[in-house]
Amino acid sequence: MIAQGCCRVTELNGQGDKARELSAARDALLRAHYDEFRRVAGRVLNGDAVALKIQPTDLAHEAVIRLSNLDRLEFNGRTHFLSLSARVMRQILIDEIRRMRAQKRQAPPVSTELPQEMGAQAIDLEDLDRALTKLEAVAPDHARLVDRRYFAGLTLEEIAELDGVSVRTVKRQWRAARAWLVAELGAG
Amino acid sequence: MEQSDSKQAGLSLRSLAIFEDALDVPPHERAPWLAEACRGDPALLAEVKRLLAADELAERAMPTGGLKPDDAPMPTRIGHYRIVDRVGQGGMGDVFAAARDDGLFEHVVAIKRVRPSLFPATAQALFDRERRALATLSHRHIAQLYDGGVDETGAPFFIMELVRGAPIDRYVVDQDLSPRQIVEKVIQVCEAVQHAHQNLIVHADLKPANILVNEAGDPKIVDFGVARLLREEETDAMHPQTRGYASPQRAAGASPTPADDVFALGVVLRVLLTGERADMGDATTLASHAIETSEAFAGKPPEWRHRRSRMVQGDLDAIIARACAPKAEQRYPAAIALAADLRAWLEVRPLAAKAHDRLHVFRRFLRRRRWRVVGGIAAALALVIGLSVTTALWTQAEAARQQAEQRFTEVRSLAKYLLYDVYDRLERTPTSLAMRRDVARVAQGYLNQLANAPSAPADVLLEAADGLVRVADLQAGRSRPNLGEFDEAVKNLDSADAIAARLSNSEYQARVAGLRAGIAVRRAALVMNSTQDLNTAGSLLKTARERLGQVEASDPARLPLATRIALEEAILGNWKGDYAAARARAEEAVTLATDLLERDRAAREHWYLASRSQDALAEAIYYGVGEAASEPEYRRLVAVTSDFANANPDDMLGRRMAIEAHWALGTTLLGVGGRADEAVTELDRASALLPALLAFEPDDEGAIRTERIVLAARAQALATAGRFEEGVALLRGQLDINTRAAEAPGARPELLRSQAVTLAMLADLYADNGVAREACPLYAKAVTVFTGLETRGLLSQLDRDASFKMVRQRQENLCR
Repeated sequence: MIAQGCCRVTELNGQGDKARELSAARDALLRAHYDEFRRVAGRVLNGDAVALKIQPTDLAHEAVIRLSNLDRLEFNGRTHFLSLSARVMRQILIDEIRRMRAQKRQAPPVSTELPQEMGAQAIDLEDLDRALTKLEAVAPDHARLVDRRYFAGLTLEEIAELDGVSVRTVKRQWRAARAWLVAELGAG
Repeated sequence: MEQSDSKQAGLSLRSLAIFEDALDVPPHERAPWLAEACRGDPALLAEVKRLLAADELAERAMPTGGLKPDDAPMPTRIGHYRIVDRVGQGGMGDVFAAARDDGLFEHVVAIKRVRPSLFPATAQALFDRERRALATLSHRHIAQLYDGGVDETGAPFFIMELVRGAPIDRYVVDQDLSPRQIVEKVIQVCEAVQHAHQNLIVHADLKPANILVNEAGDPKIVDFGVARLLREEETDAMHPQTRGYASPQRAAGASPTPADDVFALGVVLRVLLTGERADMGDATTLASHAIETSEAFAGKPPEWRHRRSRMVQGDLDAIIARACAPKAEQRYPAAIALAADLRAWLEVRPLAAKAHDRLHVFRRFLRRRRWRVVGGIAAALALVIGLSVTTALWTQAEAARQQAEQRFTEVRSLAKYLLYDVYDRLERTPTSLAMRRDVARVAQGYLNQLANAPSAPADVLLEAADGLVRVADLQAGRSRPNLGEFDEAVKNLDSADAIAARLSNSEYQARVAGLRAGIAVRRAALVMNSTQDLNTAGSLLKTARERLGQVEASDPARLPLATRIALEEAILGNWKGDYAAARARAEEAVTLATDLLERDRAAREHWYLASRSQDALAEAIYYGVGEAASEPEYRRLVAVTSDFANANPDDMLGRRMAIEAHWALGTTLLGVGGRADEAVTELDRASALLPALLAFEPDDEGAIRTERIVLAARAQALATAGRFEEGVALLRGQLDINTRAAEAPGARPELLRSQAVTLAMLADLYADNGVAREACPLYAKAVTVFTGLETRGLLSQLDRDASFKMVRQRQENLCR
């Protein structure tokens, strides 16, 4: 059961071909909230304009809080919804950065905390996006994991539960993806 | 290129898989393991080694493999305070202990610094204003807010009383409090919440984490109104209250109210008593949602929780259920009422929550008296009956007091604010008609709510009735640019009268008489303007006079009321053709209105009454005696309305009355003969005042009608003054504009109507000047447009009976 009590998915998902209806409902949901995501991304970027240092979990939490009345989400619903939205959030964040840069020619680099975690210097979010796109081509599951972990702020435990695999498996995959990114960004 | 890319990709994917497996191999065995796994593929081996090196780098930086929360370095100072320690970290930001060391004594405070991303820059002014209001909130069980500001990084901060202690759920567990002790603490919390509510501040995020218990055992609520403050700019739906503590209304996105705090208090009580938190906020998920254990109680064995749950069954359960009722009106009306029931439970008295349950009362009573009751059951029953009566009375009195204190203060001030401050401001704001309509409607909702409260005290009812009269004025009163909602106005006046009638024998008798006289005179005016039922209007005015007699002479409302009654009587006389009576009443009204203006020249109502009275007088003479005789009265009318307009340049009513006065004088002069030139001058003056009126409210139908009437009169005056071609040109110009608008794709029916009316006006001008050749095609065209509207069901009854009918009559007389 997905996203029960969340954002009208349940209502749409009455009877019949559940899987199909569910994915249609989800797409409708994401479409309906696209602008909201954009506003969140814009606010995250503008709100911290001094430092322009993004904590992507801010984005994720704000987005989900604003989007879906957190307390009405079943636990599974919340994580599942976040997981589904991760790619969209990333895309919107990057779009917003590009838009911001197009507006201000001297826009400062937008860095992220991920490099801190990797023990490297601050890195441009657009570079991270490029690296992730590359990883997507190489190992889509790994890239999706990073999206969900990083842009949707899900914990590894939550992801494991969603995918019905052990936490150990997810942790291994996460470390692999992270190592790949560190190597990629270090090389770039 | 593509070839090598895909090769590279394959390499990467395989290297990731090998990397993952390698993690399970102890580091010292890895080298041979890797050599085996990547046998014969040096590129793959190099890639895996590269990944392992990167992993080592990342692990060193953060061995846990997760993202760390905000770990910004601790600031050394915030404002005038020196940071001593970080005492907490939460989703909202950091909390520091800080000391102010510039004085003789060291004052230690808590400083809560909020993450800037939660605080939109636009909220600054609100932040300043609100936190000053919060700082006035002083209660033993509320952590005092001292000050606040914004630090150099743009992060807002609050300086508040430092509470050294633990969240109440942790405290309850650590001190192993009994249910009685817990209830005592919650009562103190309820009293603090009540105090805040009386100051119109809601907490909006009550939960154990926001209720600290200090070393002395005193609960202290923190973050009062802070949650709300940070969210004010946002829709509250976007920032719901902490899950589980939010009422269904909050969860659905409604703004926080005192009733939501009561709900949260009920959840807090439940959590503290049982360690369990059912998700009471959303009944629909309750079934599917396992009851969660509050974190602080995680160490308690399940048997403990089970025992506690059983202990709570019955009385405390009923209290929690009432506090957490899904509908706000089923909850305790105030936090203090919840406290009262808890105290009753402590003292083993019957509860309001179960007051209807006689058996319960009896059981309670027996338990309390079990050592002392020696008499038989009959004696006990007699006592029970006495008790339940007392309880009912207490409940009623208490409920009435609560309503008076809680809802009434809020609703009343809100309704007043909307009806007077907001509405008046809007009235001076261009193109605000739709908004004014909404404001009136919302205010009316509040007033109905007030009036329908079963135990509303007399003064509140009186105020509600007063407010409804005001709403009726806004809807259809002539003293202001009204909303044209006649039926609604009648309804509101009737319900105001019904409310007032209930108070006829109260201490407010004289005021009620004045109120009801005002209602009757307004009803009479509406009847004259809409249904023209002159008999009803007459008896309503008679009622108004009688009631006026009961108003105390010292009542300041008496003189305007007397003026208004005389004025409407004069207007009724004019309608009935009793011009002598009309003149007498109008003269009285003019005299009274002059007194009013002498009393206060700033009051808009006085200007209105003076202008309308003068108008009624001029009309009575115009119809009763003749055009020439009325000229001086119309000149006076022009003078008084011009003063009105000049004294209140923003007030469109004055301007409108001045326009109508110039028009009336102009058309009067037109009838006198030989003075058509003067008439043109007056009508030109009327015309010059029009654009500002129309620009102010383009959708104002009254203004549009006035414009058309003035235009027709000007054209007629020009023709009479021997400037026929100019008159024709004037109307042709207008017709061109109307036609273009009406023939644009998707034109609204009003535009078609305007076109038809202008066609008819031009046709009339030709017809009056004997040019049937030009008039007939124009009449025919007007008939076509009107018929088109009629077949589409868009013709109003008024047009069918008047404009359209007249066009067809004139066409018939002239063109066949």
